Amino acid sequence: MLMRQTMPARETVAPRDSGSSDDAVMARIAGRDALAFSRVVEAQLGLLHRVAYRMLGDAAEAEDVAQEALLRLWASAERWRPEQAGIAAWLTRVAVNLCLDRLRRRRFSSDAEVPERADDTPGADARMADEQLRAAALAALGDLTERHRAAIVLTYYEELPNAAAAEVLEMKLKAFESLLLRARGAMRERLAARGLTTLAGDAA
Amino acid sequence: MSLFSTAERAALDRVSVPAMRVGLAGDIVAARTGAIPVRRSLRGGWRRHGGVLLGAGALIIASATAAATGLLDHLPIRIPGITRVAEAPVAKPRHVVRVEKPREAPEGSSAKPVALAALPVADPTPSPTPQEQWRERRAARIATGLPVRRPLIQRAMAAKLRALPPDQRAAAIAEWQRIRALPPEERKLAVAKVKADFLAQHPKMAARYEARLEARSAAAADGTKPLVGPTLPTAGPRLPLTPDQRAERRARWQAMTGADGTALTPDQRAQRREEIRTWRTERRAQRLGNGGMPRREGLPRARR
Repeated sequence: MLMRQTMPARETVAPRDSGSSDDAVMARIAGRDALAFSRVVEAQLGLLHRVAYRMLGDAAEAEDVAQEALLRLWASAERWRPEQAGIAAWLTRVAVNLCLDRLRRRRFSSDAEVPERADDTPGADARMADEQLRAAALAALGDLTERHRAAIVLTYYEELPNAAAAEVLEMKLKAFESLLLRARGAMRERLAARGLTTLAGDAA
Repeated sequence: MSLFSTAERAALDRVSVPAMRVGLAGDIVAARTGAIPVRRSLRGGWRRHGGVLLGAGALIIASATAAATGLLDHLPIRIPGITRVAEAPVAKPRHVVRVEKPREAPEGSSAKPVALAALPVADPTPSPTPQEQWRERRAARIATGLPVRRPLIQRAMAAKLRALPPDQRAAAIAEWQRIRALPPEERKLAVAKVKADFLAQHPKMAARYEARLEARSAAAADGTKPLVGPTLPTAGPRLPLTPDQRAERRARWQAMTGADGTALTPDQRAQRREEIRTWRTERRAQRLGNGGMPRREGLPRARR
């Protein structure tokens, strides 16, 4: 059974009461404290990589985006404003914007390869079927527009609250909820179009 | 909270994320703390080693050139090809332009002084801006009855249509097909009614629409940007006006906008804008009341 590869929201988005700790960490990073920076990297790299991979569909580009977001955090540590959004939210917003920039220059390119070579090992058929389904699901996610995809990735996969996701996308809450509603409808249609579900939402 | 069904969640959960490269976190930290340079691209192949290859190539060329010209330790090694290229080029001789002084014409000669041709003077008329050129083309298309191309608007409408739920999209398409099948006059009425209903339900968009019309009329009142093309929303191509109607409209417009040459104060300009806005609203209501057709003198009202 496939489990959703996400971390609980509390560990990914800094809640409001840890704002002061984020400010303290950023102050240390501004003082070029490598240990503080390494802790931030270890805590946030997974989140950034997951978001970027589901936005772009390419593992190498996802690593590039995650690395770029963390490097920008280091570069802009001195300009960090206290009591603003937490480090996780800031990094997520930067990563999503980097993904949107890259997607504007090119289409979503999935690197999910469907194995075509015949494999006689036991369970090969099941593995191939899983790979095909995974590729189809990734392609369905790639069929969405960039903003719809961002809304689904942030709310469904990363389980961010609507307010936090709206802040990442720099939208008002009402506008984001409207976007999310349309994104869910589009996602439902794409899953049905790819043969993964029916229009009624049942398994195909 | 997710509104996806169980099967949809199962399908979405199949989008698993592959593992990251081992040591990526350490590389990022080391890059920013100065241990190793940042690797901007993680792609393999020649791109990754391109810097090394370019550096090696430059070193080889430099050493070959140095050996050929004998720069290193004054070694008298000369390789004909490289030496010829690497030797300092001979300085080019200065190109001296001889200017001959004009000879004075001898006295009594009948040679007339040559009149220099006048320099071409740049056309002081400013060339139309791209926006003005677009407006002119659009007006020409409307005048000839051709459909107006609206690629951006069409793309936006197509995206909105795709974003609708399936039942609403089918209803919208059915309504559009019904309107399209109507005769031209009834189609104009239906489109005007749809537009009026939409603006009534969306006050913000109606306000923006009014602001656009106001800005156009203000620009016309200021005389800075001459209006090109239709300024009023039309449901279709404009009907031709008689010369008398055209003169009457021009006189009314000039009286409202002060295009007779008098300078307007800001208060007067604001008042005129309000008058124009009221006039447009009344005129639109009159046209909708006439079935969307402009009122003509001597013609019967459109029957419903």
